Amino acid sequence: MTIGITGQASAFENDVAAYLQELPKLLGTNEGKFALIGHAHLEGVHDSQEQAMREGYSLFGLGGFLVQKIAQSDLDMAVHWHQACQS
Amino acid sequence: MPVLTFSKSQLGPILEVSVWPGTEAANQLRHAGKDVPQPSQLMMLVDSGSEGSVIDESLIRPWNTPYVSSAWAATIAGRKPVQQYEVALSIRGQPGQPAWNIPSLLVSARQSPFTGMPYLGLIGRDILDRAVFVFNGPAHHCTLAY
Repeated sequence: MTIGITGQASAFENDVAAYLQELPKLLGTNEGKFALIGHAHLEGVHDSQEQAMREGYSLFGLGGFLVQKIAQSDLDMAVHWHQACQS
Repeated sequence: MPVLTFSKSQLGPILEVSVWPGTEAANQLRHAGKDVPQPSQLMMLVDSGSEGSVIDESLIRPWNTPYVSSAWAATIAGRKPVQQYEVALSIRGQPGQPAWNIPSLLVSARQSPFTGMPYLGLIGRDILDRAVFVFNGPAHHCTLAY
């Protein structure tokens, strides 16, 4: 399944889609850790939210980025979001 | 443990709060040569049913600080991701009581989520998890010990 949105997507939506695309792989080895995503790309995985935030600000400054706790619940939500985007 | 006391309104426990960019978001603004916005005053509803705190995005967007995370929000069309920003909060009780200052917290930004209500944000369990909240219905007041 490809998770994402069709048409014109914002940088935020592209970052979310990039995180959700990587999530199945991340859940295998990094559940509970914190993924850093920017420019629609997974930049890395950190042990703590603080670490990931520091790295996010360092790499992206005032550009947006995502620090997401790697969790199965996001994958469940993503399926509903994907269905809503398609309808 | 400091205690904030406030009256229970018809709509529930509503508190006065100041909000401005969180510590690192403010540092980024300074680093870019931009002014750090002055605190905005708003009312926030204490909502133990909300996992995280929420603020109307019209207060946050003008700061030009970056989104730093996303959370899922319920909408008419189902759940969708919303932006989260790093903010600082100062929660006030009655005059003379020390404010509860939180220098860095991730809150969800929602577009006009509280139309017609006297509050522009929700204090969720991310904040309540750090406090003891007492809703005294018969006495018409609430306390928040932190």
